[in-house]
Order: sequence, then structure tokens, then C-alpha cells
Amino acid sequence: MKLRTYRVFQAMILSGLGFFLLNRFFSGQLLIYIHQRYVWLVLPSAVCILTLAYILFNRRPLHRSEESGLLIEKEAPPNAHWRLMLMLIPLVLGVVVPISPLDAEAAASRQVRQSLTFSTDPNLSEMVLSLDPGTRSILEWLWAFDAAEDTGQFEGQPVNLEGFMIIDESLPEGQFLIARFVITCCVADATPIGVAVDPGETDALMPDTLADIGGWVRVTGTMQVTRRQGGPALLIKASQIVPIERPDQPYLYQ
Amino acid sequence: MTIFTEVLQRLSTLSTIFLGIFIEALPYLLLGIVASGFIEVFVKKDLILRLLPKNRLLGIFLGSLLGLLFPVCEHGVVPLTRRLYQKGMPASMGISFMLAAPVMNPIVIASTLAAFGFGPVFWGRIILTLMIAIFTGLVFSFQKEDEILVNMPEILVYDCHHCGSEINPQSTIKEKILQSIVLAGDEFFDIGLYFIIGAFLAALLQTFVPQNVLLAIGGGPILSILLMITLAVVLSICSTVDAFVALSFAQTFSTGSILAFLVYGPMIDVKAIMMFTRVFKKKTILYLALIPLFLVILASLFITFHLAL
Repeated sequence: MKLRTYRVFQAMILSGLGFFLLNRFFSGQLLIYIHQRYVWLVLPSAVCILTLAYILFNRRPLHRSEESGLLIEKEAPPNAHWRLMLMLIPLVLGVVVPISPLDAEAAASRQVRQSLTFSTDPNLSEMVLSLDPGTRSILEWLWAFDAAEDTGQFEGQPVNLEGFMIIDESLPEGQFLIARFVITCCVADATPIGVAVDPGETDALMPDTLADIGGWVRVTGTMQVTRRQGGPALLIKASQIVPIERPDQPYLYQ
Repeated sequence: MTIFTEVLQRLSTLSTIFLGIFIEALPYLLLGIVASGFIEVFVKKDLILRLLPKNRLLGIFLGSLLGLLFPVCEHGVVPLTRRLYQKGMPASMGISFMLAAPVMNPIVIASTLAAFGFGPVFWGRIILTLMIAIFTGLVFSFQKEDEILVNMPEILVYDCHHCGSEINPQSTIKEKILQSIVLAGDEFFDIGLYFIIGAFLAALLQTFVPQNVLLAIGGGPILSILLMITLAVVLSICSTVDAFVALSFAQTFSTGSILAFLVYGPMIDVKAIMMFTRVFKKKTILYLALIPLFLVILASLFITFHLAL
């Protein structure tokens, strides 16, 4: 391949990538891939890539041979075809494969964590414990549970959580976890976390098989503290379970 | 569930994880590539050679601290190291720089501090990283340069392929900036390519090796160290944020194994190894992966059994 042709393809791939990133940035869909804290970094990256594309496109060298005076074209680096094709991977995956956040299906192959370590800083503990229980997320419930010296305080507090349903072997039959993925940096470190739900008398959203679960629900009810595997554990006594649409921000961020 | 929908779901998980790693690391990779382009065009070889200490030991020691000046994580450090090699940095010094820089830089030090405070994990991470980087550098200092690195003239010729005659000492500043950007673009299609392959492998591993399997193994002191190291290699997360990820394991795993995760992960992971192939010979890469591995395991065992942390 001639260097001039290679430069044109390079520029095309880079601008495709740049516009793909810009599109994901402005549509808010980056949250499916990375933590909101790092979203802004994608904007300068896209600008940088588009600049690279522009400059590479304008640098299609043609040289006059000193001996013959004829224009000669330089050759592209070896394996130029392969290079270009492999560089298309991000763009192809991003555009062709339907965008979908990690959900119950991905959680099934991971261990859903029902406890998390929270900071040992007493100020932070106090802050997370002082949150209004009705607005706590799954993450904040687990944090509060870890931070509390007396877990009895959670007994009877109101609960209002959104997440996907998943069955966990550690739970007694009939109960399920309401779960979400927590992201620290990007989906590579996504960890599913969940709180046990006892559906009680709420009618029948109960999953029969694993294929039926994975739906998003809102669970309202009250918190109980039970014992499981030799330690205290949270259990939501549900008063209502309603199916919902997947939220725009499917993950929780820590 | 039909096989078709199953495959489709796996594919979309794979795509999401791959793009997560790619998009998250992209800014840092671009930073390393652009810096490398600028060094190529603006920094003369004899300047680097003049600034480098003549003493090899001092060089290795200095290399391990160089990250404090170049705040790159593991995604930016490989292109930068390669360029510094082409500018004449000794192989052993480059190795101690490359292994230490992803931890020994202001951003990572700050994020480790934020996650763990001034405790054993914070100091342990810095001290172990420095010790291992310096030791590995020392080991390679007994080796001949051309046994460690891939043929550097080859890389130079290849780079000149694109630009060679265009780089001219008399170029104007504007022309030089343009040249460094063209170099950065070519670097993106070179080392960036290996980064993409590495990120894809990491995403494949994550999609098809269930974490259940890994976490179920964790238990004894030795196994948990090996497990955290495996996790670091498989997860391939950027060193700027891995401290927060490690924090979420702090409850389940010993301090020794958390340290193993925080020290080995930034040095070696799937993406890094892919990028290494553009700089080091195969044998070097093997030792680059193994020497720190043994040292990390030894150190973590020592911490677990003798310091009882």
C-alpha cells in the first residue's frame, strides 16, 4: 500500500473514532462504559483524535526523486492492511453491536456482593448513616451497614430501591437479591452488589427460572436485620414490587 | 434461551467491557503518544545522553523515580519508554522507569492515599514498587542491550519510513509540531494497535472466565495472593484508579494480597504485555513478567506471615 493511501485510511478510521466518541459523549451513553468522573476526559480525547485525523490527511507526502526528477510515492509501513483492520475493532464493536449495559446476565457469572467495606473515617461513616433511609441506594445501604456499630438501627427503616432481580444461592428459597453494578473506573471493574428481598405477600413477580429474572424492579418496603451465615445481614420486607424500565444510569458509582 | 441469544448477549457484554477499557484508557494512551512524538522531534539525543547519569546504578535508581516528572500510567509509559530508548536511555534504566512509573506518579500516589490513608498499604505500595523496579532493572543491567531490546535501528528505519527525510534540524517550530503530531498518529496505529488487542483479550477473559470461579478459590494466605495477582492481570484496570477497586476487596483479602494486586497490576497486565512486544525481545518480556511476579509473591508472603498485617 502506498503511504498516501494509508494516510487516507488512517484519517478515515480516526475521524470515525472521534465522531463515535463525540456522539457517545453528547448522548450521555458514555455512562454505560465508564464512571461519570472520567466522562469529561473523553472530550479532549475526541478532539485530539480528530486533530490527528486532520493532520494525517493533510500529510500525504509525494517526493521528487533527486536523481530522476520524477515524483515518487513512499510505501506505507509493513502489514498496513492488518493494522488498519485491527484499528477498526473499537469502532465496529461500538457501532455494530447493540449498546447494552451490564445487567443480570453479566451478574450471573460474577459473585453478587452483599457486603462492602466502607471507609474507616468516622466523619464519612456519620455522613452515610445520616442519609435519609428512603433515598439510600443499594450502595449506600451496604456502606451504612458496614459503617454502623449497631446494626439494629436499620430495623424498620423505609426502603425504596431500584435494581434488577437476581437469585442467589446463599438466600433461602423464595427470596431474591435486588442488585446493581457498581463502577469504580470503567465497566472492567464492575461489581454486582445486592440486598436480599423477601417478597412476602406481594403478589407474584417471583421468578420461576433464571431465564425470567433480570427484569428491573422498584422495591418498596421496610428493612429488617436478620442473621445469615453467622452474621447480621440486611433483608428487605417488600410491601410493593413494581417492574420498571431500565434507568438511564444503570450503574451506581463509587 | 436459544444459543443465538446467548451468543448475542455474551457479545454485547464483551463489547461493553472492551469499550469500557478502551475509552477509559484512551486519554492516558494519547497523552503518552503525544509526549513521545514531542520528545522525538524536540529533544536531541545528545541532550538526553548528557542528562543521564554515567553511573548505571544511579541511572536505575533515577529511572524508578522519573515517573514523578512524567505522570503517565501504564498505558502511556510504554510508548514513552520506547522513545527514550531510541534517544539512548540504557535498557536497565528504562526498565526501572517503566515498571515504577505507573505507581510512582503524583496522580496514583494521591488516589492510593485517598483510598487507604497513610497506612501500611500506602507505604507498602510505594516501597515495594520501588524495590521491585530497581531490582529488576539491576538484573537486566548485566545483560547486553541488544539482548534485551528489539532491534532499535529497525524501529528507527521504520519510523523514518514515514517521516525520515522530513525531519530536518532547520524546520520551523510549526513544522516541527506538525511532524511530532504525525509521529503521534503513526504511534497510535502502532503501539495503540497492541493496546487494542490487549484490551480485547482482557475483555474476552472477563466475559468468559466467570469471577465466581476465581473468587471461589480465594481462601488461604498463599492462594489469596495468587488470586489477587490473577485478578490484577485479568482486570487490566488503569493504575490511576485501581486503589479504589482494591479497597472493595480489602474486607475479603489480606493486606499482603491487596498489596500484591496494587504492586503487580500496574507493572504487568494483558495490555502491557501486548505493548511490550514492540519494545522488548520475547525472552525479556518473559523475565519482565516473572521477576516482579516472584518478588511480589515473596514480599506479600513476608508481609502476611511476619508482619501479620
